[in-house]
Amino acid sequence: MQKNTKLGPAKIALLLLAIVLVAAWIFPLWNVAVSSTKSLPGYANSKPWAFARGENPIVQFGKNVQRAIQGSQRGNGIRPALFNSLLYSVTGSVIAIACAALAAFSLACLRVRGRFFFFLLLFSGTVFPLQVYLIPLFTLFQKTNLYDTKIALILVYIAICIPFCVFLLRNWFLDVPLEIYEATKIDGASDLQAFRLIFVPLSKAPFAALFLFQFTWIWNDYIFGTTFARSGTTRSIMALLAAQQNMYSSMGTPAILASAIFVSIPTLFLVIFFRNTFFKGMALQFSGSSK
Amino acid sequence: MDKVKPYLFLLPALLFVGFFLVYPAFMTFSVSFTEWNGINVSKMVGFDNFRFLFSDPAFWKSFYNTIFWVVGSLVFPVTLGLFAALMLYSLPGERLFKVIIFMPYALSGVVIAIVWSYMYKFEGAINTILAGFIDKRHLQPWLQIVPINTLAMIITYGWRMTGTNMVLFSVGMLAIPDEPIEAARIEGASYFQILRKVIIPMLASTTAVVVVMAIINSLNIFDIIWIMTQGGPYRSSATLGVNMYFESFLNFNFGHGAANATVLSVIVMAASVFYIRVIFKKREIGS
Amino acid sequence: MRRVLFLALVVLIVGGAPSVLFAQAGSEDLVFINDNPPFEAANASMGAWIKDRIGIGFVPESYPDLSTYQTTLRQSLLSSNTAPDFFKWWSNFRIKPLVDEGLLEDVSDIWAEGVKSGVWPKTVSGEVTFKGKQYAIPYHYSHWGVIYNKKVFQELGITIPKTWDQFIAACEKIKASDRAPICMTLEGRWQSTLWWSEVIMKTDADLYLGLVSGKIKFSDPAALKAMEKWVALSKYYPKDMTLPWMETYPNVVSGKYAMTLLGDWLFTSMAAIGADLDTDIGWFPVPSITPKGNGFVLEISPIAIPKNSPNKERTKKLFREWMTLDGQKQWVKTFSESSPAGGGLVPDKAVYQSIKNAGLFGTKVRYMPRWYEAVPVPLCEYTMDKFAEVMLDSSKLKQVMKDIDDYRAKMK
Repeated sequence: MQKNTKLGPAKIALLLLAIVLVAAWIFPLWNVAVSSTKSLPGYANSKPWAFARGENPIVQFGKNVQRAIQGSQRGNGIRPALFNSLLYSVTGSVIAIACAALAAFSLACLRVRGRFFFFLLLFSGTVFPLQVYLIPLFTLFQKTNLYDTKIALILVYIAICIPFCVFLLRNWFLDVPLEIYEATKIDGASDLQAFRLIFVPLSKAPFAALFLFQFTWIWNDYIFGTTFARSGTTRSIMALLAAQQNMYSSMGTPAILASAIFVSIPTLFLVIFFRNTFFKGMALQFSGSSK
Repeated sequence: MDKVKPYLFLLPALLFVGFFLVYPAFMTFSVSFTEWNGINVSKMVGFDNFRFLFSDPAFWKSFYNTIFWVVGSLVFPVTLGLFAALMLYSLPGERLFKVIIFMPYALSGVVIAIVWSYMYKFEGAINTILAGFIDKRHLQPWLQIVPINTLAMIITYGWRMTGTNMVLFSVGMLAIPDEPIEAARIEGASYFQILRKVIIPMLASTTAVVVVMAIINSLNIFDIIWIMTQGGPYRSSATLGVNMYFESFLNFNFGHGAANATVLSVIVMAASVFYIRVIFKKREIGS
Repeated sequence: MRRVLFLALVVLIVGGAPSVLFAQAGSEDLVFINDNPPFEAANASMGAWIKDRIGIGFVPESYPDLSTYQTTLRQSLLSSNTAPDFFKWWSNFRIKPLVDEGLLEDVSDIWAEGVKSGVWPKTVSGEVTFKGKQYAIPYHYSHWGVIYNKKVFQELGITIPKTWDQFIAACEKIKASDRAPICMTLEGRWQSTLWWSEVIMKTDADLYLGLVSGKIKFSDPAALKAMEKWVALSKYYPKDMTLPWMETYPNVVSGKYAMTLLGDWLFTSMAAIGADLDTDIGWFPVPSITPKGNGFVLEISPIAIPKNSPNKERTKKLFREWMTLDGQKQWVKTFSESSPAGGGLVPDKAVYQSIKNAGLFGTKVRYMPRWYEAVPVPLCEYTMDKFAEVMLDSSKLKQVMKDIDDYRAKMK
């Protein structure tokens, strides 16, 4: 659909409306950002969106973040949790994408018998509520002595990411012109070579998009992180954030809000600076998507 | 060997998903027919758990809340997403506006719940603003008032999801061909007529995807509700997913929880079947 | 370049993995699993102290989330691969399922020593005793009473109430000064049981015990009459009861709320945000409503050793040392809570002295189990929500109590 960028009166009205909408969208984040720059008494005595009088917001924000980091005490602090989340997010996405690419290739190009059934099986992973997996997985990890280990969480995250990646990559591979695949067969290439040499290099864009999607999902996960990880060495960053809201905690609201901002920085960075990759990736969910 | 090779491609994915997703789902399904508290020996009790569930007021409350959520997430984030996509299309600054509305996608459920809980407090930002418009005596701690608390949480959820829907609709709009619109314009149709008769019908397949995804996601909502109200006060804002968590992890009655999860899964599967058929219809190589 | 990165990733996972990925928190110190991250420093210090004494120490590992903690810890008791050395739990009905499944180590001998040596009164072990044997030792030991802001009382000329009528009069005065007299929130759900149980046990301690055991129905006329005084307190709660607990008690310190009913473990948190426990905060017991209302809530959160504990004998030695008089003195000092050992040990602040002066460490006090542990878990969770319903709409009292009776009857 053609884009008409002339600036008529109707457009100006829409522009004003858009500004209002966007302001409403930023408002909650503005509140949090401002509140995180206040000290505890300053927070109690000021309006939510206004800075506290007589306080230096930057200094106070630094103090709150420091409190948030220390508040997690004795080595079970924020650094291990950050490392864990980074580890889970990167390895989970990369390995899931690799497995999914192989599977999507076979479903889209290799005319596998029963491909609808396999697709259904793989896709079922996106459908059920996560609670369905909690207790059985917990028991499984306990019996195999993998409970509270990093590998357990990585395996779970890989498994939960595969279905969506298969779905997207299958759509993408189906859009590859038939002639290219046939050409590789004529040249005598095996399926694996066709996959490695043709399909994978063609898929940089969806791979990038999927990496961003899954990284964000795993980084933001709360439910698996709290159920399968117990100690500080295994815990993810969102579990740590939840811990700071614990009943006996004396951190105070501004510090918690500072913490919430702090742990969101990586994914916010990704969304803002790689937005086009995100948007293009979302386009891949449709058949006949524009290329 | 040639016949087996294609299946080898599938193997890694199937192993992961089979082991860690499909098998546990079956286990949960079978637990729903037992009485088990996690540490004792489980006992088969047939349909007792389901009987309990269907006679439990808390279950039915959570069922109606779930429907409330599904309807709410169709009315609010989906239509607002469509509206935003239409409004921002070819507006100056479109890119910036879109990023801002999409940004909540980056935040985790925990962060979003924290951000909005603080806004809904009695002395929070929402009431501070409302105080400028309505009588102070009408102000309440909104998360405490039934059923406004669910509505408040749907607004929170909408803040999170509208961006995603907007992007999907935008993608759909890019794919709409120019000819029908030009033709309608030549015939003297107004913008709204074009909108109704050309643009929206051509967004049908996009809308189908957005709607079904919205339904599935809203059925599975958990962390926002759990962190904002724990399904309270007195279980009034719980949905089926929250109720399942409650029975399993607070009452330690995994039989009840599993039965609850089974009911929820059946509903979600029914909603997804339509979606799966639509997306699988895509033409395949060689067919 | 991409191939190199990919290879690096593989090497990282395969090569570096086993030590990093399979590592569980291992140390030669015993590991104490609990759900209180804010108390880690105190726990670690106690562990170091005991290590100095007997060469066996412990380090704390804290879960952030209550329901996750309760679920995963229960499951972990089932095998020696996952069972902790020792862990913190709740008493009575909350620990009973663990005892029933034979998952806990019998520590009656440690208690017997403590009682014989005169350090421990016999009456304290009730909440961890099942069929005559004890299965845990005290960790938290808290008396429950009213914690109040001294400056607010001074400003309004209120003296410590000794009767219920004086208490209500104080609430009225505080309410008139545009403050919330009683701190309350429903955010954690358990708070709804606090004043309900307190009002009943201060009306008639036996009525409370009857409701606990199920001998008296919730819709019993005497019970309903007693509950009316509880319902009458609703107007003294703050308007916003959705605040997280962490945001409510600072309001008692700041004077926005005047009083709160809680265990003495709150003092540590208050001190951490700057309250002076000698001059800012005070304590008094909830006054009796009738002479028969002489029950006092005693909260004992215990620590227990799983049967599958990996270092059982060493952990038992640790427990023994913890239960000695010196151990209790050190614990009181480190953790800033009280202990019934040695005639009643309290930290050195005025506010704790008030508890001792109220005679609550005597052996003649009628201790009541806290509602959270006193009844089976599903019933407790059910009542938490139902009490909240009445707190938000007092006209529902009769209907709700009938619902609770029906629920109890349906439970096995």
